[in-house]
Amino acid sequence: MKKLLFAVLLVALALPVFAAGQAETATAQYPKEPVQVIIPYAPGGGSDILTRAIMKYIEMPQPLVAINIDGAAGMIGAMQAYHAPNKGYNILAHNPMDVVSYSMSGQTEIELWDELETICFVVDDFNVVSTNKQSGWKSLEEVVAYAKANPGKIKWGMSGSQTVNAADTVRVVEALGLTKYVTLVPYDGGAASKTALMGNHIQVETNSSADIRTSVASGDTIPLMVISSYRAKALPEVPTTLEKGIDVTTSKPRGYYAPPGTPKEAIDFLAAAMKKVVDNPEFVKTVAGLGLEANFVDGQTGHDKVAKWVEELKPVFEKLSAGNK
Amino acid sequence: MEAIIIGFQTVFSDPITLLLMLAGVFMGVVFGSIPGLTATLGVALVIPFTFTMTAVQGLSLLLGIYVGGISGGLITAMLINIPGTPSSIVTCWDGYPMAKKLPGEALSIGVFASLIGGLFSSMVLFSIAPQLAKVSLIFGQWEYFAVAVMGMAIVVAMVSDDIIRGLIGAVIGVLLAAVGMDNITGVSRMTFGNWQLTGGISMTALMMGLFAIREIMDQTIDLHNVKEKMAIGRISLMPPWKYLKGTGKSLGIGSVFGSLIGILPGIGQNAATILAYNQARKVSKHPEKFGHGSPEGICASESSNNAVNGGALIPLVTLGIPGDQVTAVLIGGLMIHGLQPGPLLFTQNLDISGSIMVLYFIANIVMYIMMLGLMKLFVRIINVKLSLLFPALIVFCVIGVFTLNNRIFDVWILVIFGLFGYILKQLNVDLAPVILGFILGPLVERNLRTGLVSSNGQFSAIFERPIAVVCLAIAFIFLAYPIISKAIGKYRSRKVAAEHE
Repeated sequence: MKKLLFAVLLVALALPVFAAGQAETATAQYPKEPVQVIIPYAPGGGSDILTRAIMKYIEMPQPLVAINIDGAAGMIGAMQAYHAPNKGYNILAHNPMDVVSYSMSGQTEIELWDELETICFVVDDFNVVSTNKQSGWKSLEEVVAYAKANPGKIKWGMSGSQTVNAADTVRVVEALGLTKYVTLVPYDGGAASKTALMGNHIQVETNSSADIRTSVASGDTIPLMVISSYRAKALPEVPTTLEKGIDVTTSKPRGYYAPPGTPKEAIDFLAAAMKKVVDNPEFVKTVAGLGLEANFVDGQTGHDKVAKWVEELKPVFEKLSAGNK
Repeated sequence: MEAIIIGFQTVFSDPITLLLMLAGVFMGVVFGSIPGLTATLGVALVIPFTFTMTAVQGLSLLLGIYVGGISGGLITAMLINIPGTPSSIVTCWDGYPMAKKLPGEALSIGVFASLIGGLFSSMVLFSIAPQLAKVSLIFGQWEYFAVAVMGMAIVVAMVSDDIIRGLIGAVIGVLLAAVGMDNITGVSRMTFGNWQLTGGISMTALMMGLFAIREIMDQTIDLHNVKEKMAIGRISLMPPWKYLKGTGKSLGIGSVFGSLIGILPGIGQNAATILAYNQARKVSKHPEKFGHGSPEGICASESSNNAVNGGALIPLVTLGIPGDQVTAVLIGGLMIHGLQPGPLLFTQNLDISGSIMVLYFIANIVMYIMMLGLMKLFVRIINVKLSLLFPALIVFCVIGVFTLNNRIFDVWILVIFGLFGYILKQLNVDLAPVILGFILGPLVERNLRTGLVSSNGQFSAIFERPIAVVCLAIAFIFLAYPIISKAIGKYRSRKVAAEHE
């Protein structure tokens, strides 16, 4: 009996040796070890859950490991990723339009959106102009008419004041000819702005589609216009800025970045693995529940898209920071 | 009402849910009692594991950790004067002096107060959740501003025996909170060009530095003295009436303050305990005993921090708005399961919202029984030689602070503010105003500025908001009261003198 037990234990001990040996041959190439993903927000937020969904569906010989590094509206995590080793085992989950704002607002000299390697974008989110049910307005035209008849009465909420959300709000308000008629109120993020709108402390807000999805469903928030060149799947009835003849079409993609100089082999591998995830109907359903729209964009295309938006946004940000001084 | 019945049915139909509750409360108590490991950290660490569970099972585990974590902090706070979580800082003030003489009695009073706070807030959650949710909507920038000013005024009133040192503490707190990116203008403040500082100073690291590391340094001075072994007698289900007598008022204040502060997102347990403690001292028949082992002080602190939990669940269940850090993570826990925490959750997912309410209620009862049962064990652990216990606690502080946000930078904050706190303490600067300044300063600033922006710079807009005006008036009374009472006292004594002549 003792001998048998001894034999079993010995075999058990030897097993990992075989297992390790197999792993060695299967992953002679990238990735040889787990890939760490920096999530620059706290656990439980939209960005966190998105990456955890990716982790669930991705097929890789090595796992993705999530590391939450919250702070300064996502900038701390982005900077940490910028300084991380660039061997392909450290990547960053982020929202490109947030990354853009860090350098445009002068928070950092480093043009993070350009310096970091863009792996790919996986989903789209949109900024939506909405009102609350208390106002009784059903269309953007009603808002414009009321604002012009009652200057200063409408308070318009936005997330931050040196963000793409704020820049787009300023541009939309300008295009509607309301600059002198409405008061823009910067809030500390989408949740705060949403709550203020529900409590009628503001009458109009620019907020992300993901942030307002539950209050839209309950009828507390009435979406009026999506800032995009095409209609959002979550809000098929709502017209876009393009339809309204407003030339502001920055969407809010979410994607993955790698530290500067990460080998192309690793980036291509990760992008291909993520494309498979985005093609998975189950993943599409999961992110739809988060208010996001699955949309794979490869690194180069994504980078060029953002570069175009940066050109458009630069003068707006200059105006915004001039207002601060 | 329907929600509660459905909640009970859902919770009790699955034995695993109840087992997970036990595991959650236990893990929470352990995390809560070890300095550096907090309820927030416990919940964040467990979130990935709830992926594979059903929504209710996951909630059971998370709510267990939440309740256990906030309650467990009192153990180390009372036995060695080191708060296990930041929400038990105030418990040290009376818990430690009392536990020195009567450890068993002090602990059971603390646990009992936690239970009362928890049960009170869960009754609030049960009865009027949908109506109370409106409170979080009525509160706009001006109301938050006024409430925060009222809290600040209480600080000044609190330190009236040494106003200068109290104000120094409060100003230090306000300045520390101002470090980092200003969310209204997006400009960096006091970061000295260091990007690590743009994220500001981590609250957990700061508090653990000021109250755990600093206290360990303080006590190390006396390490050569032989520590008396603590022993507790038989533990009964209720704390002795002798000590419980007269704590009714402070239990009430703690429960009400805690629940209300919980409903208002963004203030949290730490501020609630300080405010409730001071209010309890104001109305107490024996205010002089506060700070020297008064059961009333323990009750105010421990009932308020637990009551915040239930309060914070109200906007979560009814509006999908988090009341504090832990409930923010809970929202994620719901979203993972495809649920939509928002205004519709309460009506469309009655089983989920009902379960949250019921689970929270059960968690408090489980916490009470478990804490009483484990008390002897805690005392035995604490009886370990301090020269062994302290290094272990420091290691836990470092691990906890690092794991919360995965940054070594936060560990430096912990160490630096441990030393800084020690210096402040040597200069007789009270550390409580530092915390209040740190928590309330940004609330005052942000809401005042947003309020001014939204009213085109007109401060008079505040007078259109009745709640804000009332809060400001209370703040004014707090500030003016010492001066007025002094003046009245002078007037009376003069009158008396005049009559004598």
